[in-house]
Amino acid sequence: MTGASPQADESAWPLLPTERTWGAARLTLTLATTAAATWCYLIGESVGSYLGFIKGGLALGAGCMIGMVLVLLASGPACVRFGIDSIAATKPQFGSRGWVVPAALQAISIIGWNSLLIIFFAKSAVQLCVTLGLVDLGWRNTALVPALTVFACAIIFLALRRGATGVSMVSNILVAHVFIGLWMLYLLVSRRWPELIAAQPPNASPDRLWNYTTGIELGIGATLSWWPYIGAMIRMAPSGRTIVLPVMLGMAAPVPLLSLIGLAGSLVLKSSDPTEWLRVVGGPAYAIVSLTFVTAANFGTTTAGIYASAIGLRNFAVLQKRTWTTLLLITIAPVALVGIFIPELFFAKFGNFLALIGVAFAPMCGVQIVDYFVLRRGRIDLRAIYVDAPGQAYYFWRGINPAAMIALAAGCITYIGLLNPLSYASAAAYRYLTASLPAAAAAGLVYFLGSLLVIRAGRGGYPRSLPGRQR
Amino acid sequence: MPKPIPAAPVADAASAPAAPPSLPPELEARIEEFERAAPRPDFDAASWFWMMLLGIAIPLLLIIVGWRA
Repeated sequence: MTGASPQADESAWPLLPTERTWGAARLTLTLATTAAATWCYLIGESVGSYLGFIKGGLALGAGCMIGMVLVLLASGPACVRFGIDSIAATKPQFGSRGWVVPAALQAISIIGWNSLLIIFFAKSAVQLCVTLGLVDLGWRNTALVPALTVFACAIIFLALRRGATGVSMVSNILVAHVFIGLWMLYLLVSRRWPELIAAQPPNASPDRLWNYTTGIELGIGATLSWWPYIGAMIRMAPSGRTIVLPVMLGMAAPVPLLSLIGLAGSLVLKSSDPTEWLRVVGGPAYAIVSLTFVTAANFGTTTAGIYASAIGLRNFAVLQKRTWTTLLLITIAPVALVGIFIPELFFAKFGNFLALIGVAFAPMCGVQIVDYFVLRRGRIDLRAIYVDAPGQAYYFWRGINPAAMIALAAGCITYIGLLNPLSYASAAAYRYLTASLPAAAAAGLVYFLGSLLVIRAGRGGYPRSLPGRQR
Repeated sequence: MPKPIPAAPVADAASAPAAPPSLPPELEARIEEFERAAPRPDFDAASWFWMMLLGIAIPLLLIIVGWRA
């Protein structure tokens, strides 16, 4: 039991300290289960295109830790102080109406990823049934993917009717898959070590530094994509001290570790999908274990994602008074519809769109970090987060802070100028700087400069001691 | 004869600040509880230590080791 009243952990309202009863162990389990999913193989495969096993693993590990600390510094302070989610935490920067921009990014990103993961889940489950001999290979199986998608959505819906307790409950059951993943990695590394060390990445650039920087960038990008998820989880913990190690070790560490499965698989067996290569390495029994792992992994992540997305949507006035059941249905419906009607089309086309959306999270972090630590110096007006009216601190101009919007755009332009997220065409400076870090820095700098004008205009509720503050 | 009650001054509707919209009672109570309490800290010294170690120092070490590998 969370200790939070049902209304509290199913709303975007601040959670009182007495309601936040997730300790470090519970938060670590939940975050680890959320982080470990099919995307780890895809990340590993991407890194394996440019780097070998050791170099790739170290670059990815470093990138993931750097990305995670950015997300933690951006969302962590406000979320953990007031028990609010990632979206509510953007109102001091984007305004009492401008927050819809981060909310839209969150909704598209989470619903998009959840749709992909739930289709992965359904496909893995069908493959598991075939391997176990429960169904035959044949045309009827094409109908199984939509049916299993609906089944998974129904289970997630039932689990999440208990709010954050449902996320924690699912995580407690599914966390074992993280250890199964590590066992799969051990299996591959111990049996194929000489091949693994000798393997050459297939798409490596002649420029060694570019390859290495790209490994780091992929790690940073992977963990920055946790920005939409993290607030809904860490707000259940009572203090900053409780969240740091769970976030850095429970959420950041499993991604590079499990991505090594995809990295090793793609280098040695030319496939990042463990369900394919475990059959080669260990026979059908191992394939069944790995299929179970993939199925469980995506299920846990999707559950956490749907919860975070539903809490984020709660910030919309029209959805504040809806029942939790209605909100869950609104959040799950797009995922189910995609899985039923356009799974293959979505698979083929939506990945690129998600890559573009992901570009925005580094600038978002830059804006939030500068706002909280430099401009506001930790002073947040909780009431102004929830009151959208002229005269309130975060009303700015018609509820929108232009400085944040311009900074977000500047960060995205910086990112795309340095690295095209689709083609990986890059500018010369990319190999020294990565793309995410300069994008965050550019957004932070533009936000700082723009905010000086905002402060001069007497908007935004900034502390009086700041330069340019109207007296 | 009772004294006439003076008319209440009428505020200029255009210049008067708009009253903030009322919040749901439970949300209001939650915000008031935060406003009454002493400001809650975000991260303490130990948290900063772990963040700097795990988010900056160790990644830098991994980058250096990886580059030399």
